[in-house]
Amino acid sequence: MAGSTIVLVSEQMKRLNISLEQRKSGEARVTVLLAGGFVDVSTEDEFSTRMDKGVQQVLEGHSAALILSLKDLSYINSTGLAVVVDANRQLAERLALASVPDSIVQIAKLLGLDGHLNIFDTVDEAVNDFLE
Amino acid sequence: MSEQDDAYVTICIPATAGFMRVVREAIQQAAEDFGFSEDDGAQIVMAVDEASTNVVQHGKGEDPEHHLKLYLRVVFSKDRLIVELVDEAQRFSPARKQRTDRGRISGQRQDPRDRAVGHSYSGR
Repeated sequence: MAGSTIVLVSEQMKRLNISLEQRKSGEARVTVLLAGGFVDVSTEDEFSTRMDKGVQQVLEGHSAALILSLKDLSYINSTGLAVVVDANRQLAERLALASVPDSIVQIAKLLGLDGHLNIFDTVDEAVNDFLE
Repeated sequence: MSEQDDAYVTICIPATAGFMRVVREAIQQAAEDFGFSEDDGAQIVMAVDEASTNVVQHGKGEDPEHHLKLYLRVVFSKDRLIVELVDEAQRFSPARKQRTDRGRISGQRQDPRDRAVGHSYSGR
């Protein structure tokens, strides 16, 4: 069978959608970081910056915990995972991951991270766990 | 089916950060078409993305204006999926780096068809 050659000349633009929000229950607050799109070499700096802001909110006492929702994230590279691991090192049990796609869970298992991360099925479950 | 009859696809893209998504989508589709599970496909995608990213981050050497191309070749063989990445990056010489420890590293440009990464994934 003959091969074919495809030359792509345009760059597709959908990248990283990321936002920070706070959930409250009385005086207690948690920070939720919603990440969608993908974390790769083109977006890892933005992801790192936003994660740092979330971590700082917890470290400075403005929030009880940081919850990272990955529901709409299609890919995260090793640098992005390193950012998550570093946040976990700083926050320990005050960091939770929620709505993690199976493909990313598999990568975390491959790298031996799954036993070190606090993972919830949904954001609401994670929020309730910290705000109860 | 002989190796000569293997089906293959070659994609040529600029070795820039913005095009890594194209690499991942092509590999993901190839892994799915070949019959890999979603989990195995995710691992293959990550391996190829990391290798491609190395080219983007380190392939330009001392010349940030150098326009690199990255060739991704996917071969659908009888019992394995073969992924090859070929780049035009400057050759890295550890011996030369040692000699120019604090100085500029000037690499020798390699044959653009030199194979940077080649790996095959077996099983369906």
